[in-house]
Amino acid sequence: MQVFKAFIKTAFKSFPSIMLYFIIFTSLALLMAYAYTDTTSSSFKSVELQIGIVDKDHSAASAALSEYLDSMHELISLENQKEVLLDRLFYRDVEYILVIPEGFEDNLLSGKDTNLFETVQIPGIYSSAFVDQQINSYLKTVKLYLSGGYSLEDALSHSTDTFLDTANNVQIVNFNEDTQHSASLVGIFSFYQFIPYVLASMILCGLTPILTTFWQKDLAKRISCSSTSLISRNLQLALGSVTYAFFNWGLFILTSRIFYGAEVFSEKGLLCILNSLMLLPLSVALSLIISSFSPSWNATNMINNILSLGMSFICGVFIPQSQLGENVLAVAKFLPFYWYIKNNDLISGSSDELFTYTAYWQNIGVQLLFIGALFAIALVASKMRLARQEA
Amino acid sequence: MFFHEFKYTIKNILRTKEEIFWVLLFPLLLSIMFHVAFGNINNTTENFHTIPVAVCLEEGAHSESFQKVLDTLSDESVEDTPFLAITYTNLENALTLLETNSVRGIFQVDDEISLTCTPSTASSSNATLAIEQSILESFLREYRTNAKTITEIAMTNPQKLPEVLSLMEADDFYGQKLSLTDGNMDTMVQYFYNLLAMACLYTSFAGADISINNHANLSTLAARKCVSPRGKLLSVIAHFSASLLIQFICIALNILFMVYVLKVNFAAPIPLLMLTAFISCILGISFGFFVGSLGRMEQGIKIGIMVAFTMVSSFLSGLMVGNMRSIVENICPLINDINPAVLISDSFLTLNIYGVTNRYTHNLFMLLLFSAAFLCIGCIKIRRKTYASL
Repeated sequence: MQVFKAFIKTAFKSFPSIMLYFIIFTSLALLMAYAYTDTTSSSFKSVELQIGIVDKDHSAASAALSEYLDSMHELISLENQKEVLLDRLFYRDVEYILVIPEGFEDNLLSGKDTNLFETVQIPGIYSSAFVDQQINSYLKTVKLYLSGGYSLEDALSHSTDTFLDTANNVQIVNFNEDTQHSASLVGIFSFYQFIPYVLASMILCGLTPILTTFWQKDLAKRISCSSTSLISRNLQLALGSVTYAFFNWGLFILTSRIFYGAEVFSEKGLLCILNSLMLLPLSVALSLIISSFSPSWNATNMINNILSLGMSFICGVFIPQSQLGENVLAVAKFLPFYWYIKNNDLISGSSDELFTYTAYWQNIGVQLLFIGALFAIALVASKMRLARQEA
Repeated sequence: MFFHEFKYTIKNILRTKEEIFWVLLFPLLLSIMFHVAFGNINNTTENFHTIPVAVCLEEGAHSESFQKVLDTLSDESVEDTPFLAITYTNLENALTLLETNSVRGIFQVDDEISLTCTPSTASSSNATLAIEQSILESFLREYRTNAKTITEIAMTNPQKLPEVLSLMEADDFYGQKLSLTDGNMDTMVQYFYNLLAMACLYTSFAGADISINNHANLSTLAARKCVSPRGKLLSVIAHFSASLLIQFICIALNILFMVYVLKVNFAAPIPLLMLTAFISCILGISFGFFVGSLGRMEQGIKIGIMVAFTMVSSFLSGLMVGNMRSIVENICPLINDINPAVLISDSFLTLNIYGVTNRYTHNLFMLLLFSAAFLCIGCIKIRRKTYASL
C-alpha cells in the first residue's frame, strides 16, 4: 500500500486549505439555508411589507390612514430627503414609500379626486400594485362615507371598522399534504441544495493537485519501475481518490446531522443524501480529466472556480431553477448539476412535479449517465497524457 | 529610463497570466453568470403579471355586480397588463386548476363571496404566490367594504345614494406617483457594482509586485535592480503607472462588456464610470503596494491577505448577499464609511440614481485619500534600505 500511503500524505499537505474551504463554504451554505427556512402555515396570512411613510400633514385623516396601513404592514417613518428615500427603496429596505402631503385632510374634505397622496415606488412590481390598491380603496371608502353625509371623524372611524369587519376568511385547500415539512427538514433541503458547489470545489481543489503530483513525468516513471504492478498502483490511486471523496462527503453528512438533527436520516433526508452521493464520482471524474493536463496550482484554482461557480449559477444551485430563464435551463440540461438540483427540488416538493420514486430514480439515472460519460473522457484524457509523456 | 522600466513592467504583467485572469477574466465570467442568473429573476419574483383566477358563479345576491367588477378588471383593451385573467368554470374544474397552479385562487360567488387558495409555502416553484394571494384577498376585501359602505349609507342617508354610487363607479387613482430619479432602481444592478469593486480591489496583486520587485530582500529581480545606479522613486513610479495602465484597461474592458454585451443598465455616462474605475484601480494598486511592503512574509501570505481583504470587503458591500450593506448600516455605519468596496459601489450607485453630487465626489475623495495613505506608508517602508556587504 505504498502508493496509497503516499497519496494520503500528499492529501494531508493540502489539508489546511481544504479545511478553510470547508469552514467558509459550510457557514455560507448554513447561512443561506437559514435564510430560506420559511415554514408553511396552514392558515392564510396576507403578505406584510415594509412601507416607508412621510407624513407632512399631521392631521386626523393622515393618522387614520397610517393606522390602517400599520394594521397590515410594517410602517417605517422616514425623513423627507431624496437620498434617504431612494437609498431605502433601492436596497428594498422599504418596498413602497407613501408621502402624505400638506393639506391632505383639506383636500379629502373638499372632494378632490387626484393627487391626494404621493408615492415613491418601483414601477410595475407586485408590492407597488398591492399597496397602491390598499391605500386607494381605503381613501375611496372614506370618500364614500364623506359624500354620504358623514362627518370626517365618523367617516374615518367607519372606514376603519368596515375594513376590519370585512377581513376575509380565506379558505385554504391543501392538495399535497406532503409539502408540510418541519423546520429542520426545510433546512436540510436548502443545505443539500447548496452543497454541490462546496463539495465540487473541495474535491476539485484538493484532489487535482494530488493526482497531478502522481502524473509528474519523473515520479510516474519512478513508480512504474518499482515492483508494484500497474494494476495495483492504479487501484491504490483509485482507493485514495475514493477515500478522499468519501471523507469530504462524510464531513457534510456529519455537519447536516449536527445542525439539523436526526431528521437527516428520515426517508426524505436519506433520499437527499443518496442524491448527493452522485456528486462524488462526478467530481472525481472531473478531477481526473483536469489533472491529466498537469495544471499548476494556480491554474487548478482558476479552472475550479470557472467550473464550480459556472455550473452552480446556471443549474440553479444559488438561484432556484424556477427563477431561471428558459434559455438558461435549456443549456443547463446538458450539465449534471441540473439533474441533481431537479432531484432535490423533487424531494423537497418545490418543483411543479409531484414526488414519485420513478422520477427520482430517473434523475439519478441521468446523473449516472453523466458520470459514465465523464469517466470515459477521463480515460481518453489519461491515454493522451501517457502518449504525450512517452513522446 | 522611465520608459524602459515602464515597458518591461507591462511585458511582465501581460505574461503573468494569473493577474490577468483575476482582474479581467474572472469578473467577466462572473458578470456573465450574474447576468444569466439574475436576468430573469425580477421577472419571476418582482414584476407584476396578470393574476389568473377561477370564478365559480352561481345565482346570488352578488353575482351580477361582482361579475361586472371582474370584467372591468380583466379587460385587456383598457390596460396592457390587466389585473386579472378570469376563467369561469365549475368548482370541480376550478379545484383542478388550483392544484396544478394554473390559477392562484378561486372566487366562489353566490350570496356570499369566498376566496379559496392553496397554502403559500416558501416553495420556490412560485415565488410570487403569497403576494398574488394577498392582492386577491385585498381586492375581495375592497369589494365587500364597498358593498357594506353602500348598504350603510342607504340606511342612514338614502337621499345621498346616487351621488355615492357615482363616486363608487368612478375608477380613480387618488395618488400621484413621484419620479425622483431617472436612474435604474433594479436592485440586481448592485451586484455588478460590487463585482466591479471586487475586480478593482484585485488589482492589488499587481500593486504587491511593485514593492516585491523593488525590495532587495524580497525577490532576486529586486536585488538585481537595487545594484543599478538609479533612484527607487523613478522605478516605483514607472512600475506603478504601468500596472495602473494595464489593470485599468482590464477593468474598462469589463465595464464595456457589461454595458454593451450584457446590456446592464448603469444609467450613467461611460466616461464617469471609467473615472470611478480609474480611481478605484489607484486604490487597489496602492493597497497592494502597501501589503507588498509589509516585511519579509512569503508572497503566498501576502496574496492571502489581499484576497481575504477583498473578499471580506466585497461581502460586506453586498457581493454575495444583496442587502448586506443595509444590514451593516444598521449595525455599524462606520464600517460602510471606510469600506473601500462600499465606497466604490456607492460611487456607481450615486452616478446611477443621483448623478454627480457631493456624495459622489466625497466617495472619490475618500478613495484617493486612502490611496495616498497606502502609498506613503509603502514608500516609507521600502525607501533608503541598505544591505550589509557579505
